Amino acid sequence: MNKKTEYRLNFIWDYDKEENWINEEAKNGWRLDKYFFIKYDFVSCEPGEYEYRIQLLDESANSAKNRDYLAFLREMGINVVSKWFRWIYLEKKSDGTPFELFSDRNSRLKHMKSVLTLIKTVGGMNGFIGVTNVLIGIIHSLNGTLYGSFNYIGVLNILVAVLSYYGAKRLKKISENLEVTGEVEE
Amino acid sequence: MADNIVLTEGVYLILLSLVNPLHGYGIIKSVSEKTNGRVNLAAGTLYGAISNLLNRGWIVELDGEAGSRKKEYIITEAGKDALMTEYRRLKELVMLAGDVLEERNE
Repeated sequence: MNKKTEYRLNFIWDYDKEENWINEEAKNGWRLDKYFFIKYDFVSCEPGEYEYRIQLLDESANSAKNRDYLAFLREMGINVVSKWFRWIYLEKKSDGTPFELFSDRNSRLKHMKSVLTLIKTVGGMNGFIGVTNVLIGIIHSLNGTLYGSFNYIGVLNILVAVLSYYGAKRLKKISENLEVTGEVEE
Repeated sequence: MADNIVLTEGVYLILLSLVNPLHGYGIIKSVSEKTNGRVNLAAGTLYGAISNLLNRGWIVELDGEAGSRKKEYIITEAGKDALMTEYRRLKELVMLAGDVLEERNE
């Protein structure tokens, strides 16, 4: 059995792209074995043998409720490859029908909205901390005390906040398209 | 029970399947067979629907057989009422359209 490790920085708002990438690897004969932050360990498999989905849970994967959910998924032949905070990486052996976690608009939207909430929280916190740090940095440099290092950290925080903003906008657009497709409403 | 509750297609079909006791995968198969493969419930969606129906008391978990970890579910009387209400609503809608459309075809 061959092994390989890939390093890749995936942002929360690109979780669908991350999914696609892992599925591409699987099509090329690489099965996801373990995920940690930016490290993806793969082992060889038959090309197209497995399919993947990533889900953000509403609470820890180890909570009683979610242990029940994961047991339910196992009954369907869906297994957890890795857990990362509230994210789970799910694997299913290909059986001819595409592997989906959600089959209607409501459940798909609900999941997307919880991802959006997470992005807004992370982005908002970084924005606040960033602005605070930059201000502290400016005050220190005006007073001639300490170094301007607060500025660098602050700028990084602000960068994360700005990225989150655009990421959230992208996901929002996808979810709005979900809202208009399919049904004709009043 | 309120009469103005409208069931989604998925919930309607799940309730209909659970006239007989089924576990999760059994529900997916039954719904797919009933609709000739048109409706394929995904695991996450089904789990959400089952939790919702359990909370409403429209279905219950059956005591599992010893050694089996798979949970089976069945519809309750309240669930049958909800299904019946929706059936009548749909029937009325079909008849309404039938009156107009069949006439036009003649």
